[in-house]
Amino acid sequence: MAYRILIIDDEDDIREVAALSLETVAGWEVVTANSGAQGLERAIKEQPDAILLDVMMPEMDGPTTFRALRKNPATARIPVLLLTAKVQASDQRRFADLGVDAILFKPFDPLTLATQIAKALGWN
Amino acid sequence: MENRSDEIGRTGNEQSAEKNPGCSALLEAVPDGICGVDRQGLVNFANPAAARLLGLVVADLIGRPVHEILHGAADPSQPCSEDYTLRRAVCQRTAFAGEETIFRADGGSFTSKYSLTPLNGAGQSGFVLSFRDVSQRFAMDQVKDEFISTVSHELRTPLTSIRGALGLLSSGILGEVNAKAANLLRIALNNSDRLVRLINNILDLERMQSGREPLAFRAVQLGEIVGQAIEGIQPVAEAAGVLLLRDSTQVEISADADRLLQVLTNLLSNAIKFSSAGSTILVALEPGASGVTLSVVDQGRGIPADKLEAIFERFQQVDTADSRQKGGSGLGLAICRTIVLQHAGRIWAERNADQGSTFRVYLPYKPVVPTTPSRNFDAPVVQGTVLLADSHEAARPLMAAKLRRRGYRVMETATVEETLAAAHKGVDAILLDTSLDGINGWEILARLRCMDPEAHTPVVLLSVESQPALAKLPEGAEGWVATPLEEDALLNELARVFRGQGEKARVLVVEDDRDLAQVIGDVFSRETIKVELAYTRQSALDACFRFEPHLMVLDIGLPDGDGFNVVDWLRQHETLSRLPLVVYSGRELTPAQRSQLTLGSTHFLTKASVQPQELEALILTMLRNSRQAEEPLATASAG
Repeated sequence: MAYRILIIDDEDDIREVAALSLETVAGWEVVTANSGAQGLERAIKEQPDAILLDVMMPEMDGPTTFRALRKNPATARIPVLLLTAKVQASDQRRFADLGVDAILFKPFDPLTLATQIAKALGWN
Repeated sequence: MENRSDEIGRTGNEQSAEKNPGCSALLEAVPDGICGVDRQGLVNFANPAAARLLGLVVADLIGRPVHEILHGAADPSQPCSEDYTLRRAVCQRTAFAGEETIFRADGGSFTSKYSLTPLNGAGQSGFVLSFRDVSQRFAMDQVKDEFISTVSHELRTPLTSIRGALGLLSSGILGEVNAKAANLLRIALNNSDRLVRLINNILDLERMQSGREPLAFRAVQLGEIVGQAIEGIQPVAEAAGVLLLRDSTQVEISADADRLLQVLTNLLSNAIKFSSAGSTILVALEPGASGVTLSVVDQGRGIPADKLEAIFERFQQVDTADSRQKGGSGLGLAICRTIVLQHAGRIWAERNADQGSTFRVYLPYKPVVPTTPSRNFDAPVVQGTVLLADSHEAARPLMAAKLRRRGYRVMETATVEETLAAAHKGVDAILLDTSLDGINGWEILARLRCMDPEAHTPVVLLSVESQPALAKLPEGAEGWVATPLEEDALLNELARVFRGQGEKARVLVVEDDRDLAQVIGDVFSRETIKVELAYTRQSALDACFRFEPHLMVLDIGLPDGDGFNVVDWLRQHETLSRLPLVVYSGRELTPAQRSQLTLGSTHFLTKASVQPQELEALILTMLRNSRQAEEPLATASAG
């Protein structure tokens, strides 16, 4: 099944590589956003099956964006996975408290990114 | 009500001042806040520091509930719950300590470490509360945490794109690549993985050593962890064509399961890396009296004997041509050692008799660890293997225990046969009781030397006689300790013998008469001494810095200045001001003159009256004594 994933990350290269990975390896459809604000817009408009959300972004960071997504009824039910380079235990505890559906770490293996997402969300 | 509590307060503080003026002075001076609290939880005494830390005066504190003075000024919309631990401790009269934010009267706050202790003496009831401001330390920790978090994040971010791009290219999913290009991609991919592991490892090590990743100890079946580790690494073993075997021993210890799994995985991964296809790796558990020894035995290329300890240092890898290509950060074993030390255990490596290496981890059943692990672990680092040959059944185990506490591995023998059998390669030093088994120690020396003609293994004699006055050690012995043993004497001698190998003693002879200088120089026929001759004051001073002598033989009458001058100059230089001296003079010196020429250990000889052999013996003794004195410093700074 061709899921639609929204990738929200301010790093152009990471967006590109992640998108390529999901498209070529899993055949999924990908839409992207380069900021939390843009991500919120795109999520409302595109209604993706899941959102890959970066943590460290200027202006509206990951957690803030996540809370906004959950608050908006149009996006409240879309599963959100954090994709983050913040791997310290103290960071992890903070993220766990947020209530996201899963946390994936950077760097990721591009050949298994889709599998990791599917496994985390109980797909297939 | 208020008047009454004022009264009580004044009486409380005044009473203590009357009864014990000295005590009162202490309480005034101590920087920690100290409050007396009565049975109802009301403050009845406060020292000046308490008032200062809370932004109040002592009178304001008296009669108030202790919880209120700490949190009373906090945000009222977030009150502490009824069963807040401090309140509960007061109700239940239990001791309590913690780290908390304390709110000052002016609304400011600081992080504090505080403790509430019930008073249980006669006529005493209530509690004492003591607290201190730890916001500085807390702030430092936070800064460090943030730094690590930022660095980690910054490094990982570009690596993400690199790793992702290379992974996709390398897989061929974007199109076929020719063989050479594929190989280059594989190289790039491997190395970016290596970089990620390095980042993980460095941060891991830093976190563990900073003590802020506390271990979670629980009852652990070591056999299960072995199983998990093997299962996890099985694919790697299969790819390398290496067979993993384990024994079926079951042992339970108190440990942090995740951390031990990390250690085992690391050891297995190393073993596989350095093993060739078709070989076997064995994991065995050997329960002992107070703990269990886990061994990972491989048949690989082995580790050079002089690297067996160094590999546990950070960024050390066995430096063979392809070991770097095998990847790895050089941190794995350092992390293993940190984890093992946090379990109050020991980890070390051995060369196998036939082929390969064995890594051993000793873990106590019930480790006694400090509650906040810190950088300076008391558990010693493995120092080397000592063979202790002593037939005194009462004394030998005590000596062995002392040595083990200092980090030495000790093999004990009680007879000549056992000693000769055990004195093989792998023993770094032999401690030999001269009355071993009734035979004179000298005879065993001869037999040991037969086995080891190049004298690679130093022998230290333990004897009831005191050290021979003139460095006349029997042929073949390196050191001497007199029994009954002073623990320090033995450890120093052992440390000296371990460290002193390979380093020649350096003696600087300052003598303007060249013939005489040559004669003196020739006196040192032993290879273990390096002699330099200086004929003038100036060349002597130059030589002090360049040659760094351990001892100086100095002729008082020099052409361009005299010996007094040289000694004065030496005295002004910190590194040289304790240099052992043998002062040669043509005539007898007066006591005043002698004291002007004395630095550290200084001996005076008149030219006519001394024989070369005596000079040699004197110098050897002085060298030995000065190195014995040096060793404790060396040990302390390396620790």
